[in-house]
Amino acid sequence: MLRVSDLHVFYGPSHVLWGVSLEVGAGAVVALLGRNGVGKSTTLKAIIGLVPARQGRVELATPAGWRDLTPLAVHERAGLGIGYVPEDRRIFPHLTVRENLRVGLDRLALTPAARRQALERAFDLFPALPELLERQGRVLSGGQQQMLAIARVLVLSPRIILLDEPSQGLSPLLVDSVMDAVVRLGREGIAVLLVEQNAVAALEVCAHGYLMDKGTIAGRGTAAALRGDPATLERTLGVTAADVEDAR
Amino acid sequence: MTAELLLLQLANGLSFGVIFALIASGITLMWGIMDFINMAHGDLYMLGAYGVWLSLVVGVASFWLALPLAVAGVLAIGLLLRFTVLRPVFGRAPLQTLLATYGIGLILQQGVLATFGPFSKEIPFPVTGQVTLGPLRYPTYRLVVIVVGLALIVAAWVLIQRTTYGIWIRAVAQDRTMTAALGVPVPRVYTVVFGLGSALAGIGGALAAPLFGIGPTIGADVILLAFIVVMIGGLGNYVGSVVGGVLIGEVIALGAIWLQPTEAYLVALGLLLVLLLVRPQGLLRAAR
Repeated sequence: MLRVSDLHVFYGPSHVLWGVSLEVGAGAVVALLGRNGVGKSTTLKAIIGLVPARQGRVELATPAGWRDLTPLAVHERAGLGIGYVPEDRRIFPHLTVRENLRVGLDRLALTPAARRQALERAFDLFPALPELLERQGRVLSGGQQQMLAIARVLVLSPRIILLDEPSQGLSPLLVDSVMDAVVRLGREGIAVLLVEQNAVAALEVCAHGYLMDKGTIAGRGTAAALRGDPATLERTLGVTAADVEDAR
Repeated sequence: MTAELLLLQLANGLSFGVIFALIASGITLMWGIMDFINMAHGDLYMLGAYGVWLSLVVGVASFWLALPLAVAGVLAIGLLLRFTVLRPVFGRAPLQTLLATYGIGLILQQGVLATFGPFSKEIPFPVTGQVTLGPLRYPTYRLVVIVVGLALIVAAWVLIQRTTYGIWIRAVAQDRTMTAALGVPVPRVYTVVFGLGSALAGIGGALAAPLFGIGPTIGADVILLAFIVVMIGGLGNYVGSVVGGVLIGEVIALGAIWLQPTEAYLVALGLLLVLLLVRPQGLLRAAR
């Protein structure tokens, strides 16, 4: 579904991504794990086009075959079916929940029935949303903002969702419900590239994982294999075997 | 001072104010949403006035036909500027866009001067006579300016509140990159904002033409005041720019009861400067 190869990104003179390569299959939930500041969020931003890649390719599988996204603008990449849910959610504070959903939805020329269906899909995943439709974005709680941020891209029927730290700042109960939502996205055939510092939670919901360290991919494997390799997890993530056991 | 005079000047203030508001609302949209300071905006207003005059001179039968023609012409010139001269400077440092648009303004002024001469043009009132409003007998055309101007200001506001492009305009103002990341073609949103602002300025110039006369520098005369109105209203705040525009119109009109017109203008400017010192964020917050 998504293929990233040899991605190099610079912020000014500093070289922050050093040849990142990864793949996300159709409908797969893949985790990108690592400590703070190793380039996980930057990788997602480079995929959607918010930071320019100096070198490397980002390719997306479309019905017409693999498409190189590198020369495309941000809105064109999103238009091909990439949904981006940023770390800080970036809800439009002075738009209502309904208007937040309309920003993306209105660019698809949907029939009223298809539009209702798209919204139903999001409401199905987040049943609390319909009651909030007339609220302003700025008055939502962190959990509500996270729901809206995911719903806002889900209504666009994306092929893949880039999900940046969805558990950040949420209570453990809300983390569980967001992770449940991630599992359901995968079941519905939407690929997810999940960036998380909460590696334990992420490894519960993904099939594969990549470990990032200092701007490169330091390891990869199935979730089961990664969970079974406490030495590597501790080295790259600072997660101890006890943490993994506790989560069980 | 009689009550009639006060009422008359209040009504006159509203008619000035509506015209200021038509100019300032376009500036606030471009500045607040695109971070684009358009010094040539006043000259689009000037072109609206010339457009009406020219249409009448070449034989368009009525002012009410000339007005939409003039507005269409200003819209076309505005969009032409957006896609030619302004595209390369867009997104550069503010000083560069400021100088570039100032230069465009000068070219437009000098172009009009070279083509139509320095003398101010006049066009007859499209409707004559007076209407009786309670104790007041008021020129019908001024009332038309107030009604038509306010109707268009409200129409543009409804567009911003209700339509897809309106939601996109507000979304871009709040978070440009997130709007793009949701797949919205942001450059096209800018074009709509630019077109809307240009059309509002053109309408302002066309409506004002029979009242104030037409000359190459009428845009330059109002642009400074319009920028201050925008600051007073809160940058990017559409409603604020309308409130600010009406406010400045009223100050000038009421000041004229006791003062010479230039003195009233000075008082208005002084008041605005005080307001800026006291409330630098504008009367209404810089709403996005």
